[in-house]
Amino acid sequence: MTSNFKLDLVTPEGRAFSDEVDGIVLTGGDGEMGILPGHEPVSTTVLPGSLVISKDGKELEIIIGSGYAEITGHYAHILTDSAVRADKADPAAIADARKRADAARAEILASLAQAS
Amino acid sequence: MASTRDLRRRIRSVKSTSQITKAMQMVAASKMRKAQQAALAGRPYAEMLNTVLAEVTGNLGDFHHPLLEEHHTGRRAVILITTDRGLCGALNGNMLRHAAELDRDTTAFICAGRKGAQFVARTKRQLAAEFTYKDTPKFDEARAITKFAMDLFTRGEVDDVSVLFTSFVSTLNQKPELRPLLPIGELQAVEAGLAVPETEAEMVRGATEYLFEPSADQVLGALLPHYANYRVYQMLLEAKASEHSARMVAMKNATDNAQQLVKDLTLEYNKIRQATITKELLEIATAQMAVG
Repeated sequence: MTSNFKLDLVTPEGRAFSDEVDGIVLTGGDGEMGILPGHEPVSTTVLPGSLVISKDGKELEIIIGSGYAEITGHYAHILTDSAVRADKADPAAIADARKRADAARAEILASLAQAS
Repeated sequence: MASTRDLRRRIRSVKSTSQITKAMQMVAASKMRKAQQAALAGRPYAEMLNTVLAEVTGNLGDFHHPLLEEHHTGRRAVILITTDRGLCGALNGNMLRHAAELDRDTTAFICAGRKGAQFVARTKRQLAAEFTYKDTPKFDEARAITKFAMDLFTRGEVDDVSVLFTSFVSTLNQKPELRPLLPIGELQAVEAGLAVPETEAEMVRGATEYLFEPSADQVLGALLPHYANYRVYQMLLEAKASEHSARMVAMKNATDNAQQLVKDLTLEYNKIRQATITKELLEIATAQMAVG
């Protein structure tokens, strides 16, 4: 088993992130999920929020919109509306993205609760 | 006959107009390239969305979704994507001619771009909403439009939602097109709509058995709005590319015309100038003869 896997973060405006990573944490349809190499193949909806990528002992946060993730043991593909890198964008944009993600997540959870 | 001073003034004014149109042509060319690049940048997303939809539809139970339902109200909504500004040749005119053919009483317009909104107001048709989008359309802008259309549709106020936009055939050719958006038709058609060639990677993925979380139905339910969003976004980009290429061509024609006009005017100016000189020489010669 390899110690890392390939992460592809795709938005309609381009590939936001594409690299070998050690692990990621994202908010899935059924709650937070941590994904490490060799994860069982899973296909899940992704709720807006933060995606934390660990690579070489460092952590990188990307604020993503709602979307979908497809995971197997050796790669993870994430399909999302928007992606704002916490280390690249200016603080105002990050705060804005976080606020929107939180609002969108609350809305989705509310509509799910209503449906069930 | 026009005086040389008038002609000089006209030449100067036509020249400066041609400089402006030349500059607009350059700007439009660079913006067109940007819109095309943006459309290409979305390709990995389209490919993945396509693969996922194919996978999910293979694992479906009895699937129902608000975006697939049919309504019978006799009313429809059309998303009209036009430009904000003119000076782009016959682009808006051609499209609005199509818009004018739609039934006035049962069609509500959702306008993206100012020209469309002006048209709807002028012809006193129904305007459901007006949106703006920038020179380089953002996905958020497409999402706002799609969300409004989806809300209208899921509330059962309209039977279907289509998009009227200018599709980009080539730099010289743009064609107004009416494409259905909602209800999302057969899922096979959904895949074909993206028209992505099959790749080898797809074969590998197709072989993996997935665990759908929470369920295949819910995954697909969450994906359908994304699919609609993405289609609107692509159409916005295409409309933008069309706008800029139409403007580029229109401005190139304007520049060529202006240069031809300058040439003609200069010729006339020189003729008059020479005629004046000849006349003066004649006068001098005649005067000398009279004196001598």
